[in-house]
Formats: sequence, structure tokens, C-alpha cells
Amino acid sequence: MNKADGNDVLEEKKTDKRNRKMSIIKIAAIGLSIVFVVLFSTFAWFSMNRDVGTSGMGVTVGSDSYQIVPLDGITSIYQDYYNYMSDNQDTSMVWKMTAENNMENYTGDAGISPGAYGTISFYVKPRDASVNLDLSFEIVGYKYSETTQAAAEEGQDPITTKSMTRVSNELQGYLAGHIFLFETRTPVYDDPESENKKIISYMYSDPILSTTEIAKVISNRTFYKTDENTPVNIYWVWPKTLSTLVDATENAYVTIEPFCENPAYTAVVNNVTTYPARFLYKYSDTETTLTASLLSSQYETYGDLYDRADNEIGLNVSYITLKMTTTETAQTTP
Amino acid sequence: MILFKKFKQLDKKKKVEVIISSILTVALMIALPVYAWFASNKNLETITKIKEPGEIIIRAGKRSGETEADSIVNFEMKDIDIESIAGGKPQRFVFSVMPGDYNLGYKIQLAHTTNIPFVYTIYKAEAPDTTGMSEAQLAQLTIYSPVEDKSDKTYYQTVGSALTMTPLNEDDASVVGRKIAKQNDTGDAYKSYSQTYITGTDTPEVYAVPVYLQSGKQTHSGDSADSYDYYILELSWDTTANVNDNYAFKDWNTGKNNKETDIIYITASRQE
Repeated sequence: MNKADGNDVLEEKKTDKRNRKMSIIKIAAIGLSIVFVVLFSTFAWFSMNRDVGTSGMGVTVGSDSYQIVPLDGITSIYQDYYNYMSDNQDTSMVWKMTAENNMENYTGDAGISPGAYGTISFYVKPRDASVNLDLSFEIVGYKYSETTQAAAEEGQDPITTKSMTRVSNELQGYLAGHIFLFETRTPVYDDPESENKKIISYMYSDPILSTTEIAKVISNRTFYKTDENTPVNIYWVWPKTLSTLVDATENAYVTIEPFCENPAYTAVVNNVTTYPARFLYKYSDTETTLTASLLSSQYETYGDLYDRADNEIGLNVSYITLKMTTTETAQTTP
Repeated sequence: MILFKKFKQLDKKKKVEVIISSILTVALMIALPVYAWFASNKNLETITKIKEPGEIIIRAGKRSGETEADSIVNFEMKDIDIESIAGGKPQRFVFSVMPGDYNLGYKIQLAHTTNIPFVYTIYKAEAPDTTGMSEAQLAQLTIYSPVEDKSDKTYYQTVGSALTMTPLNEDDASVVGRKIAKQNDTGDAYKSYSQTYITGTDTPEVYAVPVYLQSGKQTHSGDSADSYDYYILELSWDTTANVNDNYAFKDWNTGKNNKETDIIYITASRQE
């Protein structure tokens, strides 16, 4: 082995070392870029935050055949209470509220109670010539509670835990029964001919009723205007008394009349007599088959049971969520 | 390691190509599901609050300077001077109703037994400003004072005419000559004396059946600072009590052991 050979070996070793260094650097570079890609994509997921549709920007999401577009409004003033739910894994879009279209969650010391009513709206934007959708509405009730524990150490503040717990099935049933959704609402005027006519009440039609499933469904609704925002108005109302649903005016002391006319009236009454446990306090199936005439002739009993169910809701439910799920109906080819 | 060897054997241009394409592939793999997840969101959700139920509370009068009326314990119907009532000078007592946060309409129900021939009248009331009033003027007003301090007096006066109380089970042409509860079944919703009390050989007094009277719908009057509605309950004498000699209410002012007691209930309930 002469000195030149020794140098060659040394050179080879140096080259090898350099090559290994390079490959390590390249691996590191690839690894780093993978990390960055993953980071940025998850960042997009975090920042999405279910809050789609900022004013002015008009970001909307949807699939190929249609989009659901919220109104240009604000999130519910009670949005923070989602943070205290342990079970809500939901990733729905936020339903935006405006001054005219809200569920008493727009401003101030709001909230709903028997007798409350309003409108909530959104847009459907078909991408194709037409799209058929099923719209399903579900109300879920939560009870809010705060528990305070003394601090572990002296001098520290006590720990307050806030939680939102789902209420019992019985109460979920009362909520599904007592909070109504309608597709159409007609105002009743004091003097229809006058120019200064005032609205004294509303008549509702096209009820969205729950069946065996508590969710209220609009089936197979067609939306036509391609690439145009079609407004959908949902009229929500919490009837104050049972006489708003079933005609009980045969009793002299009943002053409130039903807010539906046929065919909506019949549909609503059938819903009450078919699912009485959702309308009447602790109603259990007995031999008595409920009919509209029975509810009216014994209104003292049944109207009171309706009011007591309202009271149960007021005492035991703090907040409710209203969720709309949309799915495309399978189209039938002619 | 074989991959690395092969990688090293490529020339520089190819190496860069391979690196870029592998990065793009990974990015695509991640981006596609993320976009799909975005795009599948076709649901809307909102949250709102359920208001707590309002309360209707009955309390006693309110002392001047206080913001809340005193608890109902302070509503006392004692020191009833039956001689002066029978002499034509009625006695008055103050109570209040708080319709609750939502200012709902309510009705007042008065139920009373009829052992003593009192006539019960309810008036709306207010506490006027008594500065500068003479003794004679103050004597016309109704005094409210709490139980523990009879010297702490607040003056109330009636406002307007009496509340129209609709009787639910009064017998207008009773045999005793004055108004007592209905004795026989007349098909009303309210059970009469004969349906309720006569069982077997037990025949309690007809005066023990309470008479029920209900007012019309009351709405909260007065300014928003005061959440109470005030009422005065007036006891006066039924002048028809002695018309029928057989049932005359007598001997109440003699030294006999036949004192009578009546029970009254005042209730307020929500009224649409």
C-alpha cells in the first residue's frame, strides 16, 4: 500500500461521508416538507371552526349538486354554551341569525317561552337544473349547570365547572311536541281594508311534524333556480295553550282559538292524539283513546296537562339546539 | 436502504424530480380528504335559550322606603271589631300580587266560608304620599304595618271601584236569607254541599262550604319600578243577615260561648 492508495482510501471515505451527509440532509428536507404539508392541512381544519359565511366574503360550502347558504347575519348569542357540552361532536355550519330572522337568540336578554314565535331562514342554491332535498329538523334540549369546588390549596380561587347535559327523553319529547315548525304563515289583520292595518295574530299552515322519529322532516322538496339563492323560511312557534292546537272554544272560559285551518288543523290534531306523550305532562297510554272532541270537552284536564309540560320544559331545560340536516332525495327517473 | 442507494445513483435532475413528486403526492393525499370533509357540510345548527317560568307571588303590603313587599306572614286579619263592622264601618286589610318577570295577566280568586255574615270586597290600592295630610285625612286611609312592628305604618287608599268578583257557586235565594254556597246539585262543575259533605249520617254545617269568587283579568298597573299590584280587602256587614228570623245571625255580641270562625283563601293564577 503506497501513500497514493492511502489517499484514495481517505478520499473515498471522505466522499462516502459527504454522500451520507447529503442523503441525511435530503431525508431531513423531505421529512420537513411532509411535516409542513400536514401542519397546513390541519390548520385549515382548525380554522374552519364551523363558521362559514362571513359578511362580505360569502364563502359557502356544498357538494356538487347544491349548496346551503346561511343568511348574512351573526351567530347565536348563546354560541359559547357549545363549549360546555361534552357530547357534541357536531360539525354543522352555524345558522346565522338576523334582526328579523332569529330564534330569540339575536340580542339582549332573549330566549323562548310559550307564546314565542318567529322566523329562521337560509338559502338553497342548486348547482344543477334542479335538486330534490329532504330537510330534517331536530331539537335537542340541554340543562346548564355550574358546580363550584373549593380550591385544592389555600389562597386559590374555587374551581367552577360549567356543563351542558342532555335532558331526559321525556323532556326531549315535550320539546319536539311543543315547539312547532311551519312552512307557511299568514298574518291576520285587525282591519284588512285599512291602510294602517295591524297584525293581530298569525295563522300557520304546512306543518313540519315529527312522526315516530322525533325529527321533523320536509320530504322531497324541489329547488329549481340554478346558481340562485332560493330562500327557505321556517316559521317556528311555541303555542301558549292546548286550545291553540285543538279547538276548545265550546268551553266558555277558553279565549284562544286554533292557529291552523284545515288541512293543517287536522294534521296537527292527529299529531297530538297520536303522540300525546309529547304534548301532555306524564301522559301514559290508558284505555282512553284521545280524540279532538275529548280534548275539548275535558279541556280543564288536558289543557292543564299541556301547561304542566310547558312548565317542566321551563324548569328543566336551559338551552335547545335546532339542527337542520339536508340530504338529496334519490331522484326517480320518469 | 436499497431505495436510498437507488436514490443516490440517480443524477441530480432526477433526484429533484423524485423529491418534488413525492412531496406533491403526500400533499394531495392529505388535501383530498380535507376538501371532501369541507364539502360534505350541508347542515345548519343554532342554539337558543329557554326562559324560566314566571312566578306569581302574593305578599302583604309594602312599607314606604322598601323595594319589596313584606312576606305574606305579615298579612294579618286580626283585631276585627265586629261591632263597628256591623255598625256600618268596614275594616280593611292590604295585600299585594307580583305578576312576575313577564308581567302576565292574572285573576284573583277569593274563597271564604260563610259562618259570619261578612261581605268581602276587593279594591285596587295605592300608597299615596301622606306628607301634609291631616289626622282626619289619615283616618280615612287603610293602615298596613308588619307583624313585628305595629308602629311602622304605611297608608294605602283604594283606587277606583271594587273588583267585579264573579261568584262560582253562590246560592242567590238561599233559605238562610243571605248568600251561602249552593246546597244542591245543579249540574255545575263545582260540587255542592250535598255532593261533598253529606256522607252517611255526617251532616256538617252548611256554612262550612266555601263560596268561590273570581275576578276578571288583572294586568300589572303602576310604574315599572314597582313590580307589585296592591289590593285592599274590605270586610263589611251583610245587612240581609237578619232578615229571616229562623236563621238570623244573632247573639254574636252577647256573652255566650258561640263565637264563629271563617276561613278565607286568596289565590292568584295566570289568566290569558
